[in-house]
Amino acid sequence: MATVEIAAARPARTARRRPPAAVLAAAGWLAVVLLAALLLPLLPGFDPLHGDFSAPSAPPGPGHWLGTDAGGRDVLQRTVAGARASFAVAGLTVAVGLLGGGVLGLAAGWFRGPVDKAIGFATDLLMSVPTLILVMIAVSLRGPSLAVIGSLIGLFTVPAFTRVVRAVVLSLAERGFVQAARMIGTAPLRILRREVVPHVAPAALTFAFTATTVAIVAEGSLSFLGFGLRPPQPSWGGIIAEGRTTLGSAPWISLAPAAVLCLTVLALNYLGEHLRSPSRKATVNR
Amino acid sequence: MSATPADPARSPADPARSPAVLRATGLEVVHRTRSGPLHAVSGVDLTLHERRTLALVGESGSGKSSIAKALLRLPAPTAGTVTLDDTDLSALTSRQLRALRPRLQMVFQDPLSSLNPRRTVRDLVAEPLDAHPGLLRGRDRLAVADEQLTAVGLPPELFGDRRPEQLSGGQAQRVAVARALAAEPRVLIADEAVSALDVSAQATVLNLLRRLTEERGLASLFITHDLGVVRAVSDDIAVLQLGRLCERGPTEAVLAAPAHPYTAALLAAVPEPGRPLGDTGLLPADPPSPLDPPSGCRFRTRCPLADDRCAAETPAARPVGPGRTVACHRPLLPVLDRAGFGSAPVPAQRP
Repeated sequence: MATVEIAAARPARTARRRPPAAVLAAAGWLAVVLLAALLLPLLPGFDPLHGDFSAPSAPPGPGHWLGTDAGGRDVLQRTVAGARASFAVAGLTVAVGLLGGGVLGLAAGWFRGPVDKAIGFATDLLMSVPTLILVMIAVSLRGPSLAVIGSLIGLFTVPAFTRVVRAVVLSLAERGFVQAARMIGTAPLRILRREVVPHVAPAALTFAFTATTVAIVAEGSLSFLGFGLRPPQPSWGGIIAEGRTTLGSAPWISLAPAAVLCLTVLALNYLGEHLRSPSRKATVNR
Repeated sequence: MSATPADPARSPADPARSPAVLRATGLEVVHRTRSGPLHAVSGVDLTLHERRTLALVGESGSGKSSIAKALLRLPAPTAGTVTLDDTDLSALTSRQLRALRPRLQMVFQDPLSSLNPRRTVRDLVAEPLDAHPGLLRGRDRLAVADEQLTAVGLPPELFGDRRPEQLSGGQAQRVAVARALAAEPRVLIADEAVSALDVSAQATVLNLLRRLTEERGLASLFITHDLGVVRAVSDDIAVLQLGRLCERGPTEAVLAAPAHPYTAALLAAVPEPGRPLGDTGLLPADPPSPLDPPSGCRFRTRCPLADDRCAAETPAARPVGPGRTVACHRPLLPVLDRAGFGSAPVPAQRP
């Protein structure tokens, strides 16, 4: 009988489908933006803060591929430098959100009962606070810095991360293998680490893409409103804001960083969507 | 599969000479529900003996799984005591209980769900060793895992690196058994462990449980709704009806001549080749709700023999043969006096 079963059980090979073109394009775009943000500032002659006063508001062309702004500064260089600020804020946001939401979500889903209720109440409370207004107040009090902006936006993504993680933990607690681990006498922290967290991670990381876009857009909005990084320090929102007065005569100053921001958010959303889609073999659902 | 429980080569010693490993007395499990307390288990006593298998039989909703969970304290029963080798489990701190858990292992109904899909078979089987490094006693964890895989008939070189999704139901259940064995248990509880398997895989797992109970000196509890598999696996049988034990005794004797009308009805409902499906003899009433169990005997609303006394008084367990008791006012077998009741595995609580 054993031989029959062995013969019947094929070494299952899960077919890896090639991701759709849009997803590949999105990943490619993100790679370009990230590499540019990382590497371009290392080149000699990279100076987003000081302009060439002989060529103010020069249109895109050789020398300045995306033109220059009113101060003669290269828009491409400023956009690349702005990417650093945007990704730094987004990174901090995701770190705070993942850590806070991860811990709270695990606790709420694992202990349930009063712990769950208390965490649910706290996160609901946090969600009822108007995010941008609070960040603006904090910036006026503490001054604009990547740390303040990133960690505050991160704080406001904690409720959403908490919900995502809690939902997965709740569904896992009913799964046989978590029960089996209890039956075996595995210590609770070890069960969390070995049985729960690996199953929570895909959902949480997928949501991290969404949080990244939220952070980039929020940072852009703040800078646009003048509550972001101080000029001349470039950030995407800040550059867009600077160019808005000359939209008619020199539209590239605003439109170039705006296009990059839009494409980046779009790419992040595409990737996040793809990671979440059931067509991909999702470990979350097994 | 050819051996029968009467076969002396396979059947273990007299229960009186086989030491009791796990003893449960007065188990009560009450679930709080929106519609009020649900009495899943009421006053159940069970004893598991070394090298013997007790089959716990009953319909869905009779409280079988609640008993299994109560024995493991996952969660703890509402009332009653469980002692394992003279250790009262309710007296332990959670840390002490965790340290003792390997001795009390369970195999679940759904084999695939009980295995973490992300881990390899070898890693899964080694799980008890990771949780309790003391079990290793200097051995290599993967070597122990391979040894247990071999014991359940899965060659480690073929199966060790597979993941649960690459196993059939029967293979997955054998991996779960191997994992339980790695914990070096005293007690093995199989909760509907073959119900989800096809018939050939059922036979493999049943034979395996049977053999391991002998070889490793386990005290086994086999929970099932299927009287058909009971004969193949168990030495003793306990019939559960709506949270109460109504009959218990040696499997062969009980199946040959049931003393409780409920056992008789369950037996008549087992399909057998060559025999027309018999009338179960049950009254056409719905099974009563455990939220509002009938007074007296909980079977009386469906029992063809029920009279006024069955509604008034809860029947106590009384002896009807060697090692056999029945909790019925109108049993199908004559009740013995105490003299005929010397070698019972569990003394009747109210003789």
